[in-house]
Amino acid sequence: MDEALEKKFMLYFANAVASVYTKMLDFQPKMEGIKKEEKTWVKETGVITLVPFNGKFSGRLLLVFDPLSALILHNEINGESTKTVNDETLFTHGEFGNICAGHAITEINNAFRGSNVRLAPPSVFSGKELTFFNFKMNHYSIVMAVMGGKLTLNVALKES
Amino acid sequence: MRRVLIVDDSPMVRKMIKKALAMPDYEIIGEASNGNEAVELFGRLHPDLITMDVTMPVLGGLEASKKILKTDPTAKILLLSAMGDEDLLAQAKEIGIKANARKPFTADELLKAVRSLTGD
Repeated sequence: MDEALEKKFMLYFANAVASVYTKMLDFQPKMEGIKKEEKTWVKETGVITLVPFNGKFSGRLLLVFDPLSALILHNEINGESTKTVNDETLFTHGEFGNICAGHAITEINNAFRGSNVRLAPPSVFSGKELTFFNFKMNHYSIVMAVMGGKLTLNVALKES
Repeated sequence: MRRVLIVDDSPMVRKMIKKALAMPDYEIIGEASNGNEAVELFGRLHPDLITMDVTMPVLGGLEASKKILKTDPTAKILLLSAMGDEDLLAQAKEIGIKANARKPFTADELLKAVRSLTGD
């Protein structure tokens, strides 16, 4: 896949996350940068949602919220005032990631008819310095300013 | 009163749907977290309306809808999904699903979609 197309795909994901976040939290995230990662892995801290997708284009979306912004998302969506990450936080982030990925994949499928890209159920992780290794896929990171802190998207993908 | 079966693997989404339908016109008679449970509960409870997620473990929403509509072609299924690409919607229509709504939905958007299906 050429780099121009890869960057186009990154924007599908960035725009999807921004629009879903805006609709669910009534706050417009601000995109701060996009970069192609040179290493084959990323190391992240916070609440991290991983959403795989498969089809003509396959890969995975990682949504990385720092701990404070992760709790803000949980509280805003659920109308709560939780102070620590709990099971419901992880469920909420899983669904949020699923919705964001779904919006991005919808745009990809509509732009590339017949791609039939579909999502697999998300997994959610919470911790410090968690390493995610990419196997034979290029990946990009996009940083956004959100309520209370930062959200990093990391998208790895390849054309099947 | 419409009897509703909610099918979604996300407790958060099931909660959102219950909140949106918390009115005298609707009674939530059951919840399923995957397509297999949905098919089983449909056979047992015979709801007036099913809200159906697409991506679920065990059995997905499209496959579950196909099974349900095979046993009852008049079943009213509202597909709720984060995805809304044309190929997916065409697949849903081919199966016999007559309405869909995109996540994230507001309560008003969900009610509008439900009413388009029930004719209320």
